[in-house]
Amino acid sequence: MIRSINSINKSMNVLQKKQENTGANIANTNTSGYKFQDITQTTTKNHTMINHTGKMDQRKELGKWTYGTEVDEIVQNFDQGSLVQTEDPLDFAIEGRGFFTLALNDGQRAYTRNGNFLIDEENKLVTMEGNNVVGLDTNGNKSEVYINQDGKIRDGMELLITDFEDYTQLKRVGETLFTSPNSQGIEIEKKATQGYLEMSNVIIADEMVKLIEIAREFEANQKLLHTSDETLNKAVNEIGRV
Amino acid sequence: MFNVLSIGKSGLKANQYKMDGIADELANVTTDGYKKRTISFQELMLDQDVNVGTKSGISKTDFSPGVLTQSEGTFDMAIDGEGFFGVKDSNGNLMLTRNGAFYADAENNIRNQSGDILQIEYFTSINEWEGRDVTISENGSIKGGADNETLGRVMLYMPENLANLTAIGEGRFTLSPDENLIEQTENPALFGKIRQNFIEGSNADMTRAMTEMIITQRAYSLNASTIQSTDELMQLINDIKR
Repeated sequence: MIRSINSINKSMNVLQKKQENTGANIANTNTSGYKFQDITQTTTKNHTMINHTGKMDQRKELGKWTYGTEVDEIVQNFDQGSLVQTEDPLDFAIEGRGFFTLALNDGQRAYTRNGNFLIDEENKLVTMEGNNVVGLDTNGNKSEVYINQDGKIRDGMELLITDFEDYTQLKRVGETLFTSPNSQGIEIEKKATQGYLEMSNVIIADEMVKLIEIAREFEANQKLLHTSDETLNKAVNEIGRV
Repeated sequence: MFNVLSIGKSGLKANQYKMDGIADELANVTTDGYKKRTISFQELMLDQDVNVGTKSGISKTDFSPGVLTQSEGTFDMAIDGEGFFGVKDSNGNLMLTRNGAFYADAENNIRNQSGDILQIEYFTSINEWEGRDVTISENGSIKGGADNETLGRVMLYMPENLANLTAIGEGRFTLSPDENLIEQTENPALFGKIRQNFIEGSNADMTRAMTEMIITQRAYSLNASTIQSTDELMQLINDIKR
């Protein structure tokens, strides 16, 4: 009985994490460049159940038992979000594979699909948090991207688009940024579309259905908890009562 | 569970702020010289692999021109192209504006409706002008009087970097302290033409604002659903032990 209460506890923890994640996805339905993530679960380590048939030295193996569930992986979904025309020359979007390359303040590289850029006091292209956007100058060297008075990128400069063979090794760090601790990525010859923004790829219908699923699963767990509680109550308090 | 509530709350706040921005734009559809501002969303940081929600903020001012309409006042001007009028308030602070609806007041100052004084380079003091029936040419020269002499020049300004302008209401912009101002006389090619008897309208985009209003409204109710669903889950948790 107590094992079953423990399983239910584990299950509710997983559901709580899923609820958080769905809430976070829903909160970001309008965030440009946002990529939603899903939480997958797995069974915990299984144990072999043994029936000693009344004698300690007799063993009859009944099979494998799992006692609960836990969060397995958090999976990012990199499907393309829809492109929206904003007519703002500082907005960029990428169609298909690839990421904008950013240089963080500590020198580290970060990657994003969020092309909602600004210019700072030096006419340099930066993200809303102030991270520099990395581009290629006329000689093909990496440099900051400068924007002219009329909103066009300075002649010969291009935004650096980096792609990766395996998106699953990208690490999400929040604020629509990803880092790639294991791979430098490949620089690809692709032009970002200026004047467009890629919107969030959250699928609202899926998130709403997840909310319903979580609620009902939670309810089922709670009913099970009540039942376990009652059975345990009988076992502890009523069996053998005189 | 409480953190899911705060994720949902961040979604509500962000969409509320976006609604305020849309309302501002719609309220100023007929305001002369109004420049609309875009409010965009950004994902917040991660807390144990799930982001803590979203935030919204004013990202950019859109300086694209409004439509020029004809008007009767002698000192009604519109700039066809780049550049700003300079106005000084009662404290002598210089501000920039695109709103060209000026008039001559009783004390011989050229003012706008907020009471700010238009910056004019006077070749002849305005007290000595013969009447107020002047013509203003494309480069700002004010000509009038019996001999059609040049009485003065309307000054135009431009910041080196539009990103350093801050809106302070009533269509006026201030500069950050170390921003360089370019005057029309220094580089006439950069500036647009002054059109007398025209007024520049608002650049608010009503259709876009209405569409965004619908999207924001739906996003708001989605976040409310998250909160509602989480509340029900918390109710279930509380019911575990009556």
